[in-house]
Amino acid sequence: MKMETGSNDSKALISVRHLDSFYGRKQALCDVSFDIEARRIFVIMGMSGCGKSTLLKHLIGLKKSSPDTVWIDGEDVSKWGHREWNDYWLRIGVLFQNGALFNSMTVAQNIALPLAVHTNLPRDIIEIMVEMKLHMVGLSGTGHLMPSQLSGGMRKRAGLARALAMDPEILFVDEPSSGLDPITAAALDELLITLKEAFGMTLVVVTHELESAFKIGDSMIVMDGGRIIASGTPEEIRQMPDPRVQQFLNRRPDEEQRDYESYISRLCKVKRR
Amino acid sequence: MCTADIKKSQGDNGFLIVSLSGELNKKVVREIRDKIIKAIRTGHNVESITVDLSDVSLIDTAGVALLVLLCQHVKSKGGTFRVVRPQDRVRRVFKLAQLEEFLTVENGNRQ
Amino acid sequence: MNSLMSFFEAIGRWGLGILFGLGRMGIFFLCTLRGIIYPPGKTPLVIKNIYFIGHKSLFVIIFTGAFSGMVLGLQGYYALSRYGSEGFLGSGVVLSLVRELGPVLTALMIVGRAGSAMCAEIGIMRIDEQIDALRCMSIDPHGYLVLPRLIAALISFPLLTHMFDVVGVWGGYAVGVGLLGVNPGAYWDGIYRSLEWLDIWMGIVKSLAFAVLTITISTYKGYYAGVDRGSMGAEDVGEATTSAVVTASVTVLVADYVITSIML
Repeated sequence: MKMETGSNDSKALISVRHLDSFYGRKQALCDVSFDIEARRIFVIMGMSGCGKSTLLKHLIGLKKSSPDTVWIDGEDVSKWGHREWNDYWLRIGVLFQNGALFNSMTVAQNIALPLAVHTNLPRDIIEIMVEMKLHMVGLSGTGHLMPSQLSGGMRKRAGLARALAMDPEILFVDEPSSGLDPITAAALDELLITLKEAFGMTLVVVTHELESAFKIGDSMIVMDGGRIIASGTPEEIRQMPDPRVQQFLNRRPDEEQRDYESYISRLCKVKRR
Repeated sequence: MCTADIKKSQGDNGFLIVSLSGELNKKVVREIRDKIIKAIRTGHNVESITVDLSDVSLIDTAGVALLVLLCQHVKSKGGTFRVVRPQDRVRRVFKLAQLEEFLTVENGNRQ
Repeated sequence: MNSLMSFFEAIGRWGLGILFGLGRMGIFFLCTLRGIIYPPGKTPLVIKNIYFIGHKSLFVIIFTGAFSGMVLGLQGYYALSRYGSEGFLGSGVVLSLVRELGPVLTALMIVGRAGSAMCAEIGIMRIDEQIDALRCMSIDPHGYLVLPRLIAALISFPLLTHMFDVVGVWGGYAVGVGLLGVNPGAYWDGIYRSLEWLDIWMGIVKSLAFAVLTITISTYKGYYAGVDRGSMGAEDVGEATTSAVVTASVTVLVADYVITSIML
């Protein structure tokens, strides 16, 4: 995947160029650049703490991006005001890591909320749409339950149903399969692929589940320490000689990371009782 | 934008043929629903509804929900409901929602 | 020398922190007002919050009002009887209640009950990313979470304050007339003669001001729970709730003085 420098001349749906991100003085992202094509599944992979979630926040507007770093539909989002962001948010759906369901409403009310607020759809239509979304994520018949009555995996799926409520153009998913058993996780992967094919949805999936990522991804990036260490199609990534990438793919704990010497010295400092 | 062309047969045990064209999405569903319900209620009873989707380029879940609503309405009175000649993309959405059978989706010609 | 510098730096940081907080709270309040123009419809949420702030505080307010009135009756009687002026008990009780105790104690009771609950509820939403979820659904969190509570408070506070006053007056009557033998005619006459529209307006203005201050502070603290520290845990919610109750209570007392000095 070629990276262009300077201004954005890519025709991709979302373009990121040399994005840096800080929390106070701590740098979370360093010189991140990539493109997300429309109607494709783009996967962001990496270990915990590599900056995936921060990157997602920039793409969904929860963290401010510097000028000339993030472009959506060819527009520099640092110039966007309230109206542009609100219009964008109407086009996207976001699944947060823990589902982020509203505690004071039932599952069905959660899913219906964006439809009730933003459309003039009659209630009977909304109720049918909610049932359809619940069925899609494998939660048929649970609409009347409160979020506190659901397991973690069910909450996540309910969150996905809510993210899909408005049939978004772009779906952002943060760790879709975490907390799910293998069968349900596989079903969810199938759902994501079908969404792309049936609705022409663009999906941006943040995950550390390798199998899922390689199955659904059309293109992906691998991140480590706030930087992109690999990008390309799943096949290209699998064949990359970069040792860090191979280590990530093969799930080999890094021997260098375990600092043996300081471990021993810390053990010896423990006072005898 | 979506237009609905509704033909209602005369006499009892009548049928309704709805030809839709354009994009059947959440922005237009309310209006289309009101039109069709009005057509159903005026005049004689309707026993079957056929919806022709050959000119519908795009459908979202609101559009599918509208079809489900009409289907429910007719079936509860013992009638029949059919969806005919959906385009490929539209058909894929029915498949995603697992409603091909319920809505009786056919490729054949309308009556 | 270094420790002297770091002392001044710490004071500077503290001062800047306060300014930053005040500024952010001001912006928070203005964003909330802006929510009046945008959807979603607020009415069901407002009604729900009137029930939560108003109806559910009724018992506490009536209870506190009754005992405040009774204490006023008791203290007032013994203070006035030194000068043979027990007849003025009615005036003393009603003016103390309507001008001061009614609005202030009502506000403090509601802060403790509803303010802390609101702060905790919004704080939990914050740490669970529910506020982020609202924004990404193009639903303004200020308009959806804060504004209905503010409107409900503006309706509930004056009503509860008046209830406090009325119950308090009866409490004073029960003790002063019932127990201590003050002439009932003198009691009610004293009230009739001394209570003026200015006193009632003062009570209303104070209760509205306290409504705005306490709800803004409580919801603000919850909204920003854990945000500055970058952590999102239960202890942030606890900290925010405590801070909300303390800050709101102190603010009520300070505002009470300011309003009183302006209106008297």
